[in-house]
Amino acid sequence: MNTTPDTARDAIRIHAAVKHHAAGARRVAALDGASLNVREGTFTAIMGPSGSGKSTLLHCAAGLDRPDRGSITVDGVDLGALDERELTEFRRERVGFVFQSYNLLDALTAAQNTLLPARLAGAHAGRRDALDALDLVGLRDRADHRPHQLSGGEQQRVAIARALLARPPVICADEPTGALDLARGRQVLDHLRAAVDVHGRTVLVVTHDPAVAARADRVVFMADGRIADAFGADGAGGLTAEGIAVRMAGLEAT
Amino acid sequence: MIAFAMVRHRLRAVLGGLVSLALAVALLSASAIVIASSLPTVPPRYERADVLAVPEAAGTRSDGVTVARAVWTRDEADAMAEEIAASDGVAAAVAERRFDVRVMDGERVLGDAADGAFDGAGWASFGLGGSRMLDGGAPSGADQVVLPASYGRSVGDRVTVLTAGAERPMTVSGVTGGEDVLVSDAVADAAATGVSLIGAVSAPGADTAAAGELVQGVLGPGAEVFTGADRSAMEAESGGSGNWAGQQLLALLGVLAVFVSVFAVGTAFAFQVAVRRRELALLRAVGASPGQVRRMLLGEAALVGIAASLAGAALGAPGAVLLGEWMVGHELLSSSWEVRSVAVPVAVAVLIGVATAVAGVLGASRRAAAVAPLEALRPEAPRSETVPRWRLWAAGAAALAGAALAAATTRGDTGEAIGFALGSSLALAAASAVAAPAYLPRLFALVPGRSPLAELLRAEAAAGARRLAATMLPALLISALAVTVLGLTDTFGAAVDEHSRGEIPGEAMVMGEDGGGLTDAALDRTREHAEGEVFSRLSTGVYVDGRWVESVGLRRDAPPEGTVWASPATAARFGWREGDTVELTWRDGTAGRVPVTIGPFPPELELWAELALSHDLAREHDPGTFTIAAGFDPVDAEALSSALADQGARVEATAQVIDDGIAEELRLMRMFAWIILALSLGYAVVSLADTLSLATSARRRDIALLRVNGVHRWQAAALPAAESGLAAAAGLVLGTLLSLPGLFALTVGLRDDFDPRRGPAEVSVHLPWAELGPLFAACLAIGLLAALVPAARTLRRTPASMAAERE
Ligand SMILES: Nc1ncnc2c1ncn2[C@@H]1O[C@H](COP(=O)(O)OP(=O)(O)OP(=O)(O)O)[C@@H](O)[C@H]1O
Ligand SMILES: [Mg+2]
Repeated sequence: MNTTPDTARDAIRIHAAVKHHAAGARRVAALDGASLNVREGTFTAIMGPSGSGKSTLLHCAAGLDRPDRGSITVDGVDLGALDERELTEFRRERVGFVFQSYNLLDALTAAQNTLLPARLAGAHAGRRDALDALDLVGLRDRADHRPHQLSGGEQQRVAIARALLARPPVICADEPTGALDLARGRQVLDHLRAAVDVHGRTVLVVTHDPAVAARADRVVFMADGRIADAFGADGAGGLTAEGIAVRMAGLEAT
Repeated sequence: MIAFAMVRHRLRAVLGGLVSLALAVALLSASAIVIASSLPTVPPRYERADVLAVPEAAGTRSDGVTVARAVWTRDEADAMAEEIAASDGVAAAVAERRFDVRVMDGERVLGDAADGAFDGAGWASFGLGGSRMLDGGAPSGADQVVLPASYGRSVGDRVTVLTAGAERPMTVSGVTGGEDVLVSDAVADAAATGVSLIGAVSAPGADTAAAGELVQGVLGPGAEVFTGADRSAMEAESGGSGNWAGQQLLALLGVLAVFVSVFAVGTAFAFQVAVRRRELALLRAVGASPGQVRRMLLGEAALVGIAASLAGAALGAPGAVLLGEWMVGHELLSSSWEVRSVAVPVAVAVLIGVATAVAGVLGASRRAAAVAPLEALRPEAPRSETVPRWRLWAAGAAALAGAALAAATTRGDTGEAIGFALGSSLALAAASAVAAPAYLPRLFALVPGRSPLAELLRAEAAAGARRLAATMLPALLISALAVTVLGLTDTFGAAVDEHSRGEIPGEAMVMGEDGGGLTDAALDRTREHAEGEVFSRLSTGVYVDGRWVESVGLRRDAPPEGTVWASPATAARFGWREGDTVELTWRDGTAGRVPVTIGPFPPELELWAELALSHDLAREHDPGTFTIAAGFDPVDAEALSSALADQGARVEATAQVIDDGIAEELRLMRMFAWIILALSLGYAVVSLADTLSLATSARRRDIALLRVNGVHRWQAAALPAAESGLAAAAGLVLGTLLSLPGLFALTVGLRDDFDPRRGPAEVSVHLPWAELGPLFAACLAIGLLAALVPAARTLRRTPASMAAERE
């Protein structure tokens, strides 16, 4: 990647996002003034201790949730200005989402699951598109299998195919490799990396794994609902798993 | 596409809704076919008459339903019929003479008079009907008669023809395929009271509508004229009309079927939404708008609705035949009933089925659309179920309605009171069903015990208020229905049994062998064998200012010959005073002037008539009608019995007649009650099995976790069984308690419904525990089984395989 900071556009801008959860009588601040800009066409990893607000931030960025305060702009769209219907349409057109688990509808085949957002959007997507997308993740021959006939990693890859099919500018993934073995995890990562490098998408991934973060262009650390540290941004290869682990350990110690 | 894939995938889950809807539609289309097939048609005896004309309505008979029509004098009617017959386009016109008749072969009554006894007519009437002459020909002279083939006589046989005032030995001159006993027109003229109908047959090729206008023109505005299909209106008036109890039963079945389908589909889908939260949330997360989710669920409901309705419709036609035959067997339908109309009623039933499926799912689809996308990411959290405010308001409103109905029960007359009491119980049951999610968890919190299982039971109840409510509902419904309906029957029956005696004077009664009435000869012979005067009623009527006044001709208690006796209410209605001489028109259309006496009627008359006259006066102006029955104290019942045999009448003990009457009424009520209960039980089985198997599959992971943590198999099965059993027990107790206000109100309401000469009646609540006990036990068993079966199925697998399973 050889973009200069001045000319590159920001795919995601999160400014001073605050999000409270009411857990019984207590209020938990999941986001406490988090601000983050993600440049177009980059791979960003979010790390941080459990409960630090990573998932919440990702949900807000993907339009799955709304912050109580602060502004979020994705692909030039101010999410705060959208009503529920517009937010839904925003989701299916501009974001692909991969969850840690439970990504697919049991009732539908892999191909049908892949096509779902496009069909919901009323787009003219057909089986060919589904097969092409599944081909990208190496699952073309499993197109007619149902989720219960697929392994966990294969299900994740179908979810990635789904996220890729509609060609959304932004792909968000919450611990997509959390439940996978090393080899499968690497495959999933390869696909996400290819989405950035080959197709120019912007990818935002939450992970606990320094090895995953090492594949990113930029690593962001969260603590207590805020961005505590960030580094990288200078392109691939600058980050190593060891370096990230050390830096993370340092952060958690403070 | 999505809806279809979902339905296919979730077939087992929607199966409960599907089955109950299919059964409901089957029931609905069966009763719709039976109803449509028993709608009035043109009676066979008027099939060939293109125009039927009757005098305008003048009031209703004492049953409150039958129309009493004004009257033409014979001369008037004959003149008009002649004028009509002479007009262009009319082939024939008949001023019909009808009368009560009974045909005897010695001491045996011929034929079957069950469908009304007004079967005697003049030969001219044969031309109006559609039946064919099978053998022989027209009666000539005063001693020939034409009989229906069903009477089993042949041409040349000798029979005795009884009319109210005469006994005529006759020879059979012909046999027809119809229902009427036809005598020569001269004999009919003497036997009939007057002309009740003029029928006209239009000339071949002539326009029947024009003929209708012509007849109306001749008869003037005081007549009602029917042509074409409208002639079916005459069926209701010619006696053989539909059976009241049968109609009630069919309507009841229809309402129950609609109710069941709305409920079954509503609860099945409402529960589905709860079970499928994650799936729906995932759909929302990948970009389905709330509208799309809603439409998807509606689409699913429509698919299920169509499939179930078609299956139900296929069952409906054979079901209708079974239902119809059963009803004919129980005398709830006329014996000539047959399936006449199928397509329209089935189409209506299918439409209603699909509509109820979609309507039942409306609420659920709205809730589904409100599922937030993020719910896909969280485990199926026991969402703290706050009971929405509208539920409490609705429950309050229903409870108020129940209380108001209970209050109304204490006032209404018997028929109303029974309806109100039933309404009150159902309203209170509905109130407690709607509010159930609010109080059931609290009720379960009272379960004692410190064992981990008891703790789990309390915790799961607190988290699953809706599931508890759904589990309790069938038991609540059944016990409320059972206690109310059976309790009403028994309470009412006991009250009638205890207080009805004495309403018919005398120890014995004489009544028609065939259910018809008495000839004057029979009545006279009864008087010869009675101690004192007999109490007999000749039901007739007079007209005052053109309005019908229901009247009765009496032997005992009769007013002096040549006078009439009016009840104070009747006197007030026409402004009569004691001793007035009033003008009236008799039943046969002739005018009269009679002095009137005014005085209160005894209870045994009050129900039946507004005006009383002597039997002879009544007979003079109404020669065509049999006397209803006679009550008396017998001198020699045996001798009387043999004296009555050739009149087709018999002697019965009054107490026995009353007992039989009560038994018959109670038999009907009980039959209705059991039909309702059987249907409700069926509904309970399907709905409970559905709810609990869905609930169990939704909780499979929890069960797996319990097993992983060392809970025994039986313990894991005991948990849902205990929950379901407790919910069912709570429903049974609640339903019983909530039925009591209506029942107690009924006992208050019935107090004034019996002979006022003996003061307010003592009435107490009777509950048939012998029937309720097994019914309740069955409910509990269904509740336990419905929980145990799916639990056992789940528990057959190892905990690890369950825990590993994806949702
Ligand atoms: N629905 C909720 N109700 C109450 N509290 C919540 C809810 N969702 C999140 N929280 C709280 O908000 C905080 C941030 O949650 P979040 O899921 O964003 O953390 P995270 O960084 O993704 O953690 P992890 O690494 O464990 O996934 C946590 O303290 C969590 O308990
Ligand atoms: Mg998280």
